[in-house]
Amino acid sequence: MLEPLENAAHTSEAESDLVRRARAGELPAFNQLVELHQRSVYNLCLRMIGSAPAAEDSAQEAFISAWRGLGSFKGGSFRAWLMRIAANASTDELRRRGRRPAMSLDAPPPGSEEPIDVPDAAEGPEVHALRREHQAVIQRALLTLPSDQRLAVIMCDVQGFSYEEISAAMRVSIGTVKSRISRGREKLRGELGRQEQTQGTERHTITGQSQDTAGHRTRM
Amino acid sequence: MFAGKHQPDRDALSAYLDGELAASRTSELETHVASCAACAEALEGMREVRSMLRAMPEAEAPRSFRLRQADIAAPRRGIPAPPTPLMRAMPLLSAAAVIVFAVTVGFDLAGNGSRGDSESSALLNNFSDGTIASQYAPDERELAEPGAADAATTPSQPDDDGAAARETAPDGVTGSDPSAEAGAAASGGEAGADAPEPADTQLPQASGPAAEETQADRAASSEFDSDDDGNNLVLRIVQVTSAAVALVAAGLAVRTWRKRREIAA
Repeated sequence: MLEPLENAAHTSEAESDLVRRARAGELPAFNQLVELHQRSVYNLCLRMIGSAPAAEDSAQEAFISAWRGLGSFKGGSFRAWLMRIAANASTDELRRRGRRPAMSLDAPPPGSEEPIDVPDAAEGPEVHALRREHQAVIQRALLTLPSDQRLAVIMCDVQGFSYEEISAAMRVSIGTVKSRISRGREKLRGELGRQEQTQGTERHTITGQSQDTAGHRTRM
Repeated sequence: MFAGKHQPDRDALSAYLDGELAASRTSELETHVASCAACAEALEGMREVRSMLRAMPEAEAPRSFRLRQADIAAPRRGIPAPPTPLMRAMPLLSAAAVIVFAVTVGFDLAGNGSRGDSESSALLNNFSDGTIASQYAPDERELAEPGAADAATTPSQPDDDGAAARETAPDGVTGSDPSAEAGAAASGGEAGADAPEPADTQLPQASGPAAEETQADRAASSEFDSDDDGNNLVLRIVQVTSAAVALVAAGLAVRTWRKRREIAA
């Protein structure tokens, strides 16, 4: 489940110190920053690309880029800056692997045949399998979004960033962030709805509760 | 508000879901949604998508991404380095080169405009003083050809000035004669250029001083020309160089800008 994020819209003092030392060339200080942010960076890449191995390469590349580009970090949210680099590394990786982000749901992107499996020890095998399929469906739907919208939606909904941080990371106004999220969600809704219609199956929510195609839902 | 045709403001609904809608608009929206089927449906659909996304699990990092020395030393692939200070200066350099180019063009136009107009002949009167003309004597010999070329290419006022020159030429034999030069100068720059021909035919034995004088006329009239020829070359060089620099710098600046746009994607 989504973990509550610390309010990191502004870099904390301890982190600022690490950034200062990293900028001065201290690799160990930079690596501490890596430890702090690698999960977020990896997950951003994972959701942007849709493939675990590609996300791993991309995250690695992002951190190398960040180290080399420390001179151009001008302050503000270090995390937002890092997310920006991660997003660029992701789109680079997608381009490198010859994929176009806007793809139909019917053709899974090459290399993502292995579904992203995030195990939850608490659940039984059937629920686990359903959830995996569900996640795969959402992930494929995400990949049909233009990269701007995809990034905005991932940062907001999957990772819980504030509009302010997304605005800093994408270097656009908050109004633009708002509309990208709004359109991204709407497009996803359309894609998921289409997929439902073609498959004609029950829709399962993540909690395991089901909903028939007439749209009645047993709410939590 | 027409319930059937109302277009939901999805941006507002979306922001409302995220708690990012201004407080003043929030109650307004809630009131509206309570009574508008289209907006209620849109909000609900959006809420559902948002919930599904929020429920996506956050994966653990598959490994540590700490950098080792080997990672830093390895050659890069893909992501372009931030622009060097030199590259950042390219737009400025291009602009400066364009300004220099424009200035050289300005000189061009000014130079072309001043030849042969009354203002320059007034200035030439100032140079009708003998000493100044004799100072130009050494240069004139080198300019004999350009002067002749000028004479050849300036057919204007041929006869009258020729006659005037013939009349004054004998007087000019004794050396630099202000009146001769004044006469020649008064009729315009081209006249000075025209003067050599009749003068040469009329007084071959005095060709030295006469030549000097007529060449002084030419020098006086081509006062601007002689300097211009030397300056022209410099001007051309500067012009071409500045144009080339402007184009190259602009090209590099565009390249840098596009790279940065890629990053900004």
